[in-house]
Amino acid sequence: MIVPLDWLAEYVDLPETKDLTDRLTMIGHMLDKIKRIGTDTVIDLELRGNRSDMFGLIGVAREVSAAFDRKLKLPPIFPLPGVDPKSPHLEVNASAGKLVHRYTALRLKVRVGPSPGWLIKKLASWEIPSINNVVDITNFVMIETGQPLHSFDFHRISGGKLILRRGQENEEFNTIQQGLTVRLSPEDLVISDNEQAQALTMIGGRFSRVTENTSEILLESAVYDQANSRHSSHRLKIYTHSSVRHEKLLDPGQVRFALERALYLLKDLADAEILSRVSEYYPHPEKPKNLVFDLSQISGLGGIEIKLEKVTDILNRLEFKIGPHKAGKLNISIPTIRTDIVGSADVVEEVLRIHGYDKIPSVPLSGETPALSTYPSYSIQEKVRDLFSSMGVNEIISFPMLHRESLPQYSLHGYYPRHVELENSIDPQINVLRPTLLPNLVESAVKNLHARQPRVALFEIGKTFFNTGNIYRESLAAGLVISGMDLPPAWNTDPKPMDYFYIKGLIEKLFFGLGLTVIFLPESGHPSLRLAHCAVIMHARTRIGVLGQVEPVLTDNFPVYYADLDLELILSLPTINPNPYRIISKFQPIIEDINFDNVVNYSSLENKISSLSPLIQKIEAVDKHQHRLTLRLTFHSDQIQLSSADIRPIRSKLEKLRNKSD
Amino acid sequence: MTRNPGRRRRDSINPPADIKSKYMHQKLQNIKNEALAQILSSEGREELDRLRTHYLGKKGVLNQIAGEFKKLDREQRVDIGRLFNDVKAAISDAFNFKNVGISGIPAGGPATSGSEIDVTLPGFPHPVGHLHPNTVVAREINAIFTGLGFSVADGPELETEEFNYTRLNLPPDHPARDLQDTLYVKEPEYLLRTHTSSVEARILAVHRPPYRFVFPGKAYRNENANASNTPMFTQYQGLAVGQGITLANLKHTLETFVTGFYGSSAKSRFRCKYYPEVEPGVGMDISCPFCNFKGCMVCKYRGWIEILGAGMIHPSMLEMVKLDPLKFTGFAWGMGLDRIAMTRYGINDIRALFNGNLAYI
Repeated sequence: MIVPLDWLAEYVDLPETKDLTDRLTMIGHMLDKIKRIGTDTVIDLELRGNRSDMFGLIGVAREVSAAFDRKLKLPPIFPLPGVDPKSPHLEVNASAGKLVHRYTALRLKVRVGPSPGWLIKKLASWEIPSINNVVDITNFVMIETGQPLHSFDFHRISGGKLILRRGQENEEFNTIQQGLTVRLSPEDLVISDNEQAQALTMIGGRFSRVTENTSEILLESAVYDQANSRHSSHRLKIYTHSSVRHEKLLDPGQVRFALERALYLLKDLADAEILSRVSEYYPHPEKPKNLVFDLSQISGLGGIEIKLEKVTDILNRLEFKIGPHKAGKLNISIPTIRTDIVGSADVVEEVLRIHGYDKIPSVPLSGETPALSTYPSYSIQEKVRDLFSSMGVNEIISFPMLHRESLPQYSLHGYYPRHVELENSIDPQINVLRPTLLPNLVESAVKNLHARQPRVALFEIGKTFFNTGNIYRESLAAGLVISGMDLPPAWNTDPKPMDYFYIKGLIEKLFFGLGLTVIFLPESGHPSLRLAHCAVIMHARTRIGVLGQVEPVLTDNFPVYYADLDLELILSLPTINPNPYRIISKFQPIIEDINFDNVVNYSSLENKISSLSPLIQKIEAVDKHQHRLTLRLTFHSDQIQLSSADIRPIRSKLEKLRNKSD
Repeated sequence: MTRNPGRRRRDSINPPADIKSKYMHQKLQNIKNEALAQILSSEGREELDRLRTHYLGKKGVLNQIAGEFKKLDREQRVDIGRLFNDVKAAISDAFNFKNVGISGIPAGGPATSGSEIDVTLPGFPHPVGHLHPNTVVAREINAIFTGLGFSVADGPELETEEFNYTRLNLPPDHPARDLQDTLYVKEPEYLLRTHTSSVEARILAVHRPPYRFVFPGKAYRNENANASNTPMFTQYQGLAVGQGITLANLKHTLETFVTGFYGSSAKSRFRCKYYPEVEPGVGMDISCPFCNFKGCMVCKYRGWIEILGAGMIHPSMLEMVKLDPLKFTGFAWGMGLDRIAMTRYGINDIRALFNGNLAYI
């Protein structure tokens, strides 16, 4: 809200500018900018969505008057004539009835001419150009009161009557702004005569605008349905000083005050003569709201005790009317201009902000301490982050919106459930919500490879989105991508390319850390991972992820490996507490190597071996040369020192197994 | 400690070259197994020295078997040679390992016997993973609030109008619900949450007081990406609901956060501010860390920087979940996380947080 201080000072005596802006900031109207124009200082206050009264300078003055306890000086007005029950200049169609809260108009004879210098200067501080005395007065009063007004050239209104109706589909309307023509719809409220639309809620019409040829006007002020005004304004893309006010909850009570103020100025500056009584549509006149206010609410919400005298003083300054005080309760009447005040909590805020938020003490939370209950869906993310980062993998976060073409490019149709589409994305090409983290991670990896990063290891934790049978579902996923060398080149490193088994190792360690036993089985059918270089990660019978080499066509031929984990599913599985600690046996182990030829499935061989004897504590695949696999077996017992004799029966079983595999 | 019953059987005939190779293979494995077991179970320096001579000495077992390689053809020699080196390395390792255990000095003599090392050479470049700046900042803030008895919550990003708007005191015609700001999946019901306040609505609906939660999370808006705005952004919100909770408790909680996060010299202030989901509403500023009240471009010469919005949970929101606002009260606050992370890491383009460029992390 632009507030020229010279202008504001006409309604209330102002303190020092710094005191003024500091106090306004603290009571809810933050100073945004301050500038000097000539000798005048202009402050710009941040607007509050719920304070329609602060869209007029008198509203600002009212706040200053309450905050500094200074008298409000309202400007002079000229009283309106009585209401004509027939309201000859106004008709509201039934279909538009709900969109209008109050519409008040009267007919005046005027002398149109240039505005005086003071008026032109005041409008200039708002960057509103001067048109003529009549139009300028309506603009001036809008800035003063926050209540928009409009004047029509009466002789241009066919039938001499304004008809409020809904627009017709595709109806054309020429706005007062030259060249701005819009097409209306039945959603728009139209102020029309019996031939054509003459105004909208937020802008006047070109045909009936007041010019130097105008001799009679219809002066109106109105309050419309705020939501409809806002929607109209957005749909037609017309934003005016009027529209920003009409989309707030205005006080219909201000309509009369605004007209009376305009009438005073029109008589003064345009020799106005009243030609009609008031035509008015005001089906549900606003009554002041009353509230029984429990004083204990102030300490209950504010945490501060304020004396009754202080409370009543503050509320009086804010123009609340206060009835008798009884048993800690106050009967208060809310000024109609304060459309934001609805309940007791609003009144508490009024008292606190004028008393001073800085006076609220700082008191630790007390009482029963709630049990700690961090959501498992959050904890698991943190665990995965710790595990991956400890293994040298970097975290990224990416947008979940994908380009439409990502789906066919990654052939994601089919393997993943149906994707979810956005209805109104700004870029209609980027409207798919990711069904997997794969595309973003793979793209990031490739980008980093092109940027010559020697070791690329990235993970992301985020939501994926599905549409299953028109039910929109999201799931928590983790993705991992690696490519390049396992170590950076250095005088003391021997970098080797990371491959399928590198990423598998990361996944194995991750699941150890998560306390889940998993197995890896050959997987086919993943659209972006190479056949025979791809495995599904299983826990018992549950598929909890997939890993493999990304199809080289998707990676500019870089060897890139990817793993996808369904954290939502993993969260539902029973975990064991991973315990990496064991007291080392005081007895020596017996360690032996044994070769196996033509091993096609290591994990089934490993299962067979480990089931041979509980003494086999460790099986390591220490060497693989062509089709020969060297396994190192550790025989160990916590109870006895093993001797060759203890191992002999296991050896013969192993030998049988070995001969079978030969 | 030899094993392999097949050995005797195959050894008894004059084997062809491939059988010979297989035999040599087994023999090497057996030597290794035997050696490892003996070395590990040995006691005392003398026994260890004896074993070393037996296996690795000039006329030791390994050198003897090396003499047999010439019987193999060239290809097999490569294969067996490879295994031989592995076996020799494994046995040497075992000696070294055992030696340290006995004397505290590795085999080969004390470390000082070698030539001097350049201790200023770079160390081994262990790969270390970095967390995203937003994660790091969220964790820091989580730590402060968990110290105050808060737990961490989260919630869906694909939301319904009910939880994103209606339950947050944003009735259907509220300006904040305007289509242009919201990314809809299916109008009018499904959308990407426009703020993490939806998690607040879900907590209110599910938990019974008293409770205290914080919830970092992503939110979305219908905007193209540029240096200061992105269609996705990160928020950090929290709430406490119970009996007797007031703005004074909110003030203490947030002041604890400010001094914990920005340092003990950071000043903060409460001022009145409007948010539909709270009443009374609070805006919280901290002393501008760039100019310390002198006035600068960052704080627009105010001396203060707005960091968060807060207030007492609106009574109508409590009523919606059948809590009596005269009995139960609560406070809530929310702030942007991206800006904090960007300041902390000197990033001036918000897109850099979300484009997966390693140079930043």
